[in-house]
Amino acid sequence: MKFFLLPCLIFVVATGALLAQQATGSPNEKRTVNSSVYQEKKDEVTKAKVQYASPFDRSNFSTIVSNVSLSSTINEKTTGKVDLKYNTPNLTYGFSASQLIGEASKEAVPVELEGLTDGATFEFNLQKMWWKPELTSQEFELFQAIKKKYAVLHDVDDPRLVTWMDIKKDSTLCGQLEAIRLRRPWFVNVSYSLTKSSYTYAVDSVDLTGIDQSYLSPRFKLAFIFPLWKEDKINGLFSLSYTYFTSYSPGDEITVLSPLGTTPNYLSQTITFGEPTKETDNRFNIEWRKRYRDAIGIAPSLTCGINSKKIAFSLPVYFIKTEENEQKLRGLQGGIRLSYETDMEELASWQDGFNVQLVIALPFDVLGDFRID
Amino acid sequence: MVITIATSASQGKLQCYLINNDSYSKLLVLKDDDLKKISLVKGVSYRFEWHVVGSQDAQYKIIVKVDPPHAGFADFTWEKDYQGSHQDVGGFNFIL
Repeated sequence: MKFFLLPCLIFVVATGALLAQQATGSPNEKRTVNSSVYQEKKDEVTKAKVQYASPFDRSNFSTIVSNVSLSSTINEKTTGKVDLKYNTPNLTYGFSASQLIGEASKEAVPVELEGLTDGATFEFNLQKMWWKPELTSQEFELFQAIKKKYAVLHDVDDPRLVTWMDIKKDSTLCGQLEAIRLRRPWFVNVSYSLTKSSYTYAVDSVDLTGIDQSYLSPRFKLAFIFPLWKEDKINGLFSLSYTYFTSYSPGDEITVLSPLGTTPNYLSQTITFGEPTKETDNRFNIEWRKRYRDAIGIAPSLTCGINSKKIAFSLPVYFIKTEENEQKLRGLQGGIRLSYETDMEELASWQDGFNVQLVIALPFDVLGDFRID
Repeated sequence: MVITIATSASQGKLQCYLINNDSYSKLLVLKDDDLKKISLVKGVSYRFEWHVVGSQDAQYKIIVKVDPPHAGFADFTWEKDYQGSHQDVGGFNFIL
């Protein structure tokens, strides 16, 4: 129960902080100014987020669009996922629910009245942008001095209007700007998730009675994301993350042959013997994300599990199309994710360590029309 | 005297500061679409500074007025459209 309360508490606190932050200034006047521009307002980071979004949303960088997706991994079950996201200029937050889907299943039900269903994962995610661009006093005074020279050279009526980029175009003065460092925005992403898994196992080797038990596995993730700039253009994203990961592994399966009454027949019964063991891992991840033209994005990443002593390399390739204004994803989003996982001490064979995942996602925008102000 | 600052940003990020140069304290911080006002003191040096950043075409507008009008600060309107990726800075000092 406490695992349920914690994400709800985080959500309530985060929402309250957001509303408090937006409550500054004169509300009536602010609403008047905002109303005219709010309809068209999509910040630059929105574009970057869309550009570098992934249908998997397994990256450190949170996607900003709500979506429904199906992903399928070779030799494993298919996973259905629903993402609900809400975006503000500095903040992206939302919930997601995913559910393992068996071969015979026609629907995924991550939540029932009793709570999470078996194989379901619930996640709360919060992503904040940090940007504190003010210049130091020394930098600002130097900027004023350069600006004064520019205004004289170009006979500017109101020197107050001269900006950095105006001076950049002047080959005689642009070199002097190098002493002033522009601050770039960056992001922090925090997520907390719970996965429910159920096992049937026996602990008594005499009667082999099965015990049904459910477990909740929490996961916490903290990521730092830095846009990569090439001159004035965002050229990609670089991120570092830490994940505290827990899971439960079932005990060994054994097959028991029991005499069937007094007949000469035997009853074969396969049962998991022993209680599932809890496993924790501290994982560190480094990821680079880049988009080529308008359609293909790659996000190679390297993950190292400290406790599990495992290392994984993955190369997701996304096929992403955006609307002409690049503010929204267009149509079905798809991708393929190639990965190789191995023990640190002994390299796994290519056959054992290699995996492929396919995904198709359909973006939708349930929360997109909501306004907070 | 009251200074009123109104900002708007379309498809980009904008951040504005009004800073007291004498005490180096930030009096106002405005982000994107915002409107704030504050009373200023005669003889004190102030800095007005703004930053914009974007990875696509974007439009920004800043309007600053002092009421009642003062010779030390003429009404200020900065409006600019950027094509493609950009990061820009502007600002000036003034004394009322």
